[in-house]
Amino acid sequence: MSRQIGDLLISLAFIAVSAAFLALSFGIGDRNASLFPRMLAWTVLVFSVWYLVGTLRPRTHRHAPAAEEGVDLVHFLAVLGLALVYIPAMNFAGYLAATAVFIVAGVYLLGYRRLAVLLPMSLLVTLLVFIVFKTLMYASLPSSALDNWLTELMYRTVLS
Amino acid sequence: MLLHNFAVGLAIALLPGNLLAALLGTAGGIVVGVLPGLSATMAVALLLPVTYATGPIAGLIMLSGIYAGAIYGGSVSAVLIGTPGTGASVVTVWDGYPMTKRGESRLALATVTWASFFGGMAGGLVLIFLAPPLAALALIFGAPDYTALVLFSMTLLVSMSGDEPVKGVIIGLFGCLIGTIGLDPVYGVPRFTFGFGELAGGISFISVLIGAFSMPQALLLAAAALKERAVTPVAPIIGNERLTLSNMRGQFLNALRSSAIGIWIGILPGIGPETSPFIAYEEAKRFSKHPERFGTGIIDGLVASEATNNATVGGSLIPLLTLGIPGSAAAAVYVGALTLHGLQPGPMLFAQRADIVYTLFIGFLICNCMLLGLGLGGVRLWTRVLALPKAIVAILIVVFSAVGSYAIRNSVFDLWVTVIAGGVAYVLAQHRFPLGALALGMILGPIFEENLLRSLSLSQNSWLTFVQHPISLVFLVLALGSLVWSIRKAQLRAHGRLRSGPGTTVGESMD
Repeated sequence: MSRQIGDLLISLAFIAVSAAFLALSFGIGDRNASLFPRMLAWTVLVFSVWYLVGTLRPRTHRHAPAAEEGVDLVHFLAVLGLALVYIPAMNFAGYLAATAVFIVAGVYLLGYRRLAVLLPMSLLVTLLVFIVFKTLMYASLPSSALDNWLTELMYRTVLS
Repeated sequence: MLLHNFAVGLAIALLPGNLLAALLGTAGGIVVGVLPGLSATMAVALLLPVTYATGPIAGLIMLSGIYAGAIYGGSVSAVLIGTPGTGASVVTVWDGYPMTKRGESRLALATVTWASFFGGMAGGLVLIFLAPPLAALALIFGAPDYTALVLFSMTLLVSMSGDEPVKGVIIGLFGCLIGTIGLDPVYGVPRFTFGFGELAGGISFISVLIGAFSMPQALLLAAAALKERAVTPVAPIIGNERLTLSNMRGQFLNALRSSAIGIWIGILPGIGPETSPFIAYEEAKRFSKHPERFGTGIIDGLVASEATNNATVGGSLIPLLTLGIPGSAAAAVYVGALTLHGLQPGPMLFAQRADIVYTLFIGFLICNCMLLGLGLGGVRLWTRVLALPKAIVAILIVVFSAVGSYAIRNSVFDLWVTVIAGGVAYVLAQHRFPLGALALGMILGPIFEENLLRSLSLSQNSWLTFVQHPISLVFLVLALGSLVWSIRKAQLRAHGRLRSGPGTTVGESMD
């Protein structure tokens, strides 16, 4: 996708989003509460149209190439997809299993293939984050039976 | 009273837990800063959830360390591999890398460490002595004055996007628009909630920032890992020439001038440590007896660049703490930390929680001392960090972002906000949108709206109130001047009559 088409799509997206905010602002009952969002939506809309007009003009200079140019796109998209799957996976399988698998799969897909380093590193990081968040921050993480069992074990060890 | 506050601040800052927070924060910041492609803003955003557990004082000290450490860390990679670790170290490459190529990396690293320390301490001292009177002055500001002040700050967003100011305006105001989701700040009327209960309290500012500043960098690193599979070669730390006292004495004025520039740039909202090195470097060159040697590998250039970018850190905290207006994108993330701990930055913070403010001041100086120690003592460790495979770093950033975003409110919704913000920010950064403007917009928008509505309410909906208050009028005139100047500057740049400033490339625009 050329940079010009990208700019065009972004400007159209901003126009659509600001127009949607503008339309929705008329549904806000209170006049004062709708004042600022409406001002903003109008301004973003006007500047987005300006941006759109700018993208339609012929370019006189070339911008820096996009980061993914010259990249193995299949692997890049696979990692992107993996990152998107990671979140529902964490909710479904719990933090521990989803994170350990995500680290191994993600790093492997990005070209680092030394499994002797990768496997222990993945387990170590996953456990370290788990311990820090659970015991120091008292934060909750998406959990499965495995996570609950480990949490209980950790607290029992600390208490004893 | 002032001395009493300092004594209390010193006593609290020296508690072992707070010293540990300063040490961990500074070390963590250096690690992130050393890795090319990761910005200081990302360091603050990514490690922000960790401060949740430490309580406000240790958390804020830790964040100061992270911010200062990340700015310094960027210079290590600038010197050793010729690639700036953060946008703030671009200028450091110009003299640092030639020195490394000449076999003088030891001298270059010692110089950037001392210069960073000097700049950091100068910024910290100005913060300490300027912030309290400024906060006292800000107490007389009424709602119209604040509205005009924030408007002035918002016009500075225009100057953040180099030769494409329209993008800065769009993304900054879009940040403001996101900030309007949820209940309005004065009347409590729900807006744009789409039936989601999670949106009633607004979109989590921290989740957006974690996504916007971490995810794109993870994706850029992933792309880089796929492009160049080999690990970056790191030059060994060698050289017999040491930084002597006479060397340092000769650079005192240079360091002082550069620090002053950094502090001033830091105070101006919207312009961060990526800009100040360019100005300080040019000034150092102008005052130098041998300007032709700049760029060939001399310590004058390193001192200018590093003293100024670290001084910007302290400078950017001045408007944040006294007025509640962040001076840089990283400082905007800092607001997230304050609100996470139930604190509202601004003059009332000095009045109500002086203990926290003065402890933060002292903690900031301690962090800079830690930076000196870690920089001089741990340089071999930081070079090892540089050798970390990009594939591992990219995936770990995704994990930390996801876990951090979830842990703040235990919300899967926030996790999705982070991912969506990350995806959108990646696309926008690829098209040279300055993401720092998004952060500032999200912070400034709600402050502007609250004061605007209060002003109108107090004046029976008369817009003349903004020109009837002298302070407000001054800020309105400044806002108009800033807007005209930014547009003129962009026009000159577009016609090639002005050199394009920093912060306009994909990597730099992250800040």
